[in-house]
Amino acid sequence: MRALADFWARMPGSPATDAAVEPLTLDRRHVYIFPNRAGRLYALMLGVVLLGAINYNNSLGYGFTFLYASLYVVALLHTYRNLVGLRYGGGRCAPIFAGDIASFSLSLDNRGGPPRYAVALKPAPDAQRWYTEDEQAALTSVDVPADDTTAVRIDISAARRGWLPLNRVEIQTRFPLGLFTAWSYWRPPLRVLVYPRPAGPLALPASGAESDSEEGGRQPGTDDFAGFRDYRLGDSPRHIAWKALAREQGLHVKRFAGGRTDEVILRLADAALLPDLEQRLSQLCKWVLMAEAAGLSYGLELPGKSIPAGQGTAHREQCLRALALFGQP
Amino acid sequence: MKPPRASPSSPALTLERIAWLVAALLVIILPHALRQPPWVITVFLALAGWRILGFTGRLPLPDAQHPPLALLKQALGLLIFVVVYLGNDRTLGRDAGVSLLIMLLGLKVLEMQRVREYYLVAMLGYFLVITHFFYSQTLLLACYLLGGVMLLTASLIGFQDARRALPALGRLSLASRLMANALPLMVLMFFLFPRAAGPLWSLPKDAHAGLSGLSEEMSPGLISQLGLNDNPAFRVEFKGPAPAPSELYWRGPVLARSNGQTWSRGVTGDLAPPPIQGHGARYEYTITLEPHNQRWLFVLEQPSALPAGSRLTRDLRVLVPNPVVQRLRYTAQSYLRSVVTDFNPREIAEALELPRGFHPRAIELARQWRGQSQAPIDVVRRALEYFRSEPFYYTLTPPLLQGDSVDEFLFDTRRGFCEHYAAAFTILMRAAGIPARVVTGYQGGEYNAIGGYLIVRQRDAHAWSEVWLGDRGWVRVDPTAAVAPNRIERGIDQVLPEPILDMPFELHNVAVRQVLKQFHDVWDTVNNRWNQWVLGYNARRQTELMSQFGFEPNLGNLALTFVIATSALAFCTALWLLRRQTRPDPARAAYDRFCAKLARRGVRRARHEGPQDYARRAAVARPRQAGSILRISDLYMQARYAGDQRALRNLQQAVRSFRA
Repeated sequence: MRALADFWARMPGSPATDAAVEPLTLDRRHVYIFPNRAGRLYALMLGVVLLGAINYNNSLGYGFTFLYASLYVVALLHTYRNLVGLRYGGGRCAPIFAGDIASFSLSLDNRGGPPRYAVALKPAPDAQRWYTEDEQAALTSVDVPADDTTAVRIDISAARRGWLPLNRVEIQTRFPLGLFTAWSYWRPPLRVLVYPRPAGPLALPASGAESDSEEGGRQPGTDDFAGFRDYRLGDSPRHIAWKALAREQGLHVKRFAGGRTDEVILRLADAALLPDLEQRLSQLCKWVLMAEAAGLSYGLELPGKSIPAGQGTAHREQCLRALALFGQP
Repeated sequence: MKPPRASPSSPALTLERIAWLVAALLVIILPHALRQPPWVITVFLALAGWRILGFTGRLPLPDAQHPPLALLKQALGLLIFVVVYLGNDRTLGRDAGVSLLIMLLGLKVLEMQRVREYYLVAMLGYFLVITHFFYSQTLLLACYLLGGVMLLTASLIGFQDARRALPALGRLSLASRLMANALPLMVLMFFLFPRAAGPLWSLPKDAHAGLSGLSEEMSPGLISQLGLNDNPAFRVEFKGPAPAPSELYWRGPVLARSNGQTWSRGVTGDLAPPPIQGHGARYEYTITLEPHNQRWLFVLEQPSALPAGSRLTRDLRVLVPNPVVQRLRYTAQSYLRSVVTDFNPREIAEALELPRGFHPRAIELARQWRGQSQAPIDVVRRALEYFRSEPFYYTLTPPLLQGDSVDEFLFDTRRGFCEHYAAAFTILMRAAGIPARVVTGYQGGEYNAIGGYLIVRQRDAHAWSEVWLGDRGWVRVDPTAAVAPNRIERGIDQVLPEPILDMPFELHNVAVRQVLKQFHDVWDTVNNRWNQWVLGYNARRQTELMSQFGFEPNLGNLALTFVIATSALAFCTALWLLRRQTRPDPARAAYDRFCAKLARRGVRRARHEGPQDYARRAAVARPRQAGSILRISDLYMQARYAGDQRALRNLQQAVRSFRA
């Protein structure tokens, strides 16, 4: 009975749809099924042929009517079975910039399950509604082989910087006959870090005062070899000591002395010309990317957070992360 | 003015999906091609073909991008309506409805643009399957249409199979699996659904057209070839031994009036029945009558106990209140030797009437015999002797009789079948002052040893005479027997020309014929079961069945049984379908046991962790078991991903002896 009440509570359009916890396994109690428009058309056809069979007292008419009716029941069970038992098998998403599309990769865990076909995943819309057949046909879907796992991608657009959680995911299928829609929800513990959109009209602030103009066209920070240090994630491959690696002495990075003079510290105040905080952060984000691309050594100074100068992918991520989460809990 | 909104077809409607649907519809429509005018199917083919060709890009489709074509399409729809309406005498009955449905389906295939419309066409396809059963309900047709339903279902599966993971065969096999899952529930519903006795609303006039059988008129000479076919008229199961073939006269319509050309029912026939005195052996039998859209039932001459709900007439026909449009099963009893002596002057007067101005030569011959004879029975013998000694021939393809049918047959052509002999004999008797009438029905039948019943076919149709012999009452005389005794004693097969037996002419070999006969018998037995259990299953049989199981067969009980039983079976089907489908891979199962053993020691495998990573971590955590941990994960990867059977056995053994 509870399951039934539960079912009605989660019917599309019901106010109680933001249920508390959705398990990450589609067990029988959490898979909902209902005849869609094609299924209701089928039911209508069923009614008409039944009336015809009764009226003409036609034995084979009865026989095929009941075949259709049983097929309806069996189609319901097969559609239901196509979803029941599917598990969420983890997922991930690489950080992106605001304005881009976040591509979550979710793993569908079907170990011990039958083959499943045409299972569609999409972020659950805020307002519950039915998809028309044409929208449904346009949804991307995956097939999950028996006793195996499959990855599926869910794209959502990221408008603002900060953490973007993948809220509810609706999993649904109409396979095999398209007469019923079975659906359920997951709330996977997934979020993606959205960096500010790199944009802004301002030029990169000049390097520190002690900047040496003689450096001229030379590659900054690569002039004087100053020894080795251990490789850290994000170091430029150009600085790896390949010869040392070839001698099986481990992964080391060559250090150069000149970089210190080309340091630039990016401050929020440098972008004070821009009207609001988000635009300033966007500007800083753009500067970080520019500085990294130019091979400068750069640091970040935000109110309450400062990152000393450095370079490399890891350093860049650290700066972007600080920008993304600035002012956010 | 607003430009017409271009609404391109949904990208989901691919060539493959439409081709599947059209193929399924074609299979479903095909049997209608035998009954519908050829242009109906042609129109469907043309319209569906147009849509298919549209995919090649060479043929523009009648969509919003081609307004003139769209207009043409709408005109075509209207034209189809008008032509069907006028072509069917301004009625929309069964035939017209089917014509319309087929052609409009073609039109819908041509114009569909939305997924919803695809489904609409498929649903109409399911509906179209049912329309066949208004024409024919044979076992073969049912099997064929099951195939059609499977194909239609497979095209729906193909539609849902968005990534085309299933090949064509896979779709068909899934469709047949769905239907196999549905079968038990269907059978249960078939037997338990409360059957209504009568129609809910009036049926169109042509609902039962095309049922064949005897008619209530007979015009020997006007037809040169009897419409002989192998269709069964009825099947008989005798309780106890059956009478000899020559005694099997199945009485049908009695014809007492002649207008010189055509014989028809007399006016005294419907009076109250006479008493019948039966003698000798009494036979009880059950007849399964094929629907013939007439009110009479066939019984063995002469009936002593009538089927339930029927009545006997003065001329010993058995009538039911309504035409038989469903296969009917009834039980009757008959005495082969029975006497009807009840005298009714009106009946006798009618049996002496001669059509005015016809048959002068016959009348003269009969008067001559009458003058030379003592008693009426002598005249009868004389007439039979005449047929026997003069060169009369029994043939199923007699010449057409242009003038006076009786005179010409008796004196000129002398070739004919039972109707000619019965008609001529009856006229001769009446002319000689002996009351006589024609009786039509069937004679003989073929014994089916496998099913243990007698099958009487349309080609066993026969006509004979009855004469009134005073104190002996009505006596059957079969003049055909005088000419072709084989016809009566051994059945119609003995006199039929070869082709009618449905056998290639090379098959003179007796053994081959035996085998063929055996095959025919098996096939007919299957059909008989089909008729009785599937087609003949009606409200009455349902009541009988319910009573056998000890239920009071009222509507409430029926409905309750239906709901409970079908729900229970649907529930069982659900349990069966939702049971754990695949056993986990044995290598996986062993590995899971290994992981469980480690987990008990606190080394739990994370979801994202592959076997190698996990082994490395576990080996560090439990350094004493490091060797076996690494070995087990190696074996697991070999067994699971390389399919190595020996590795699997080693893995299972290693896991068994593993102590974490």
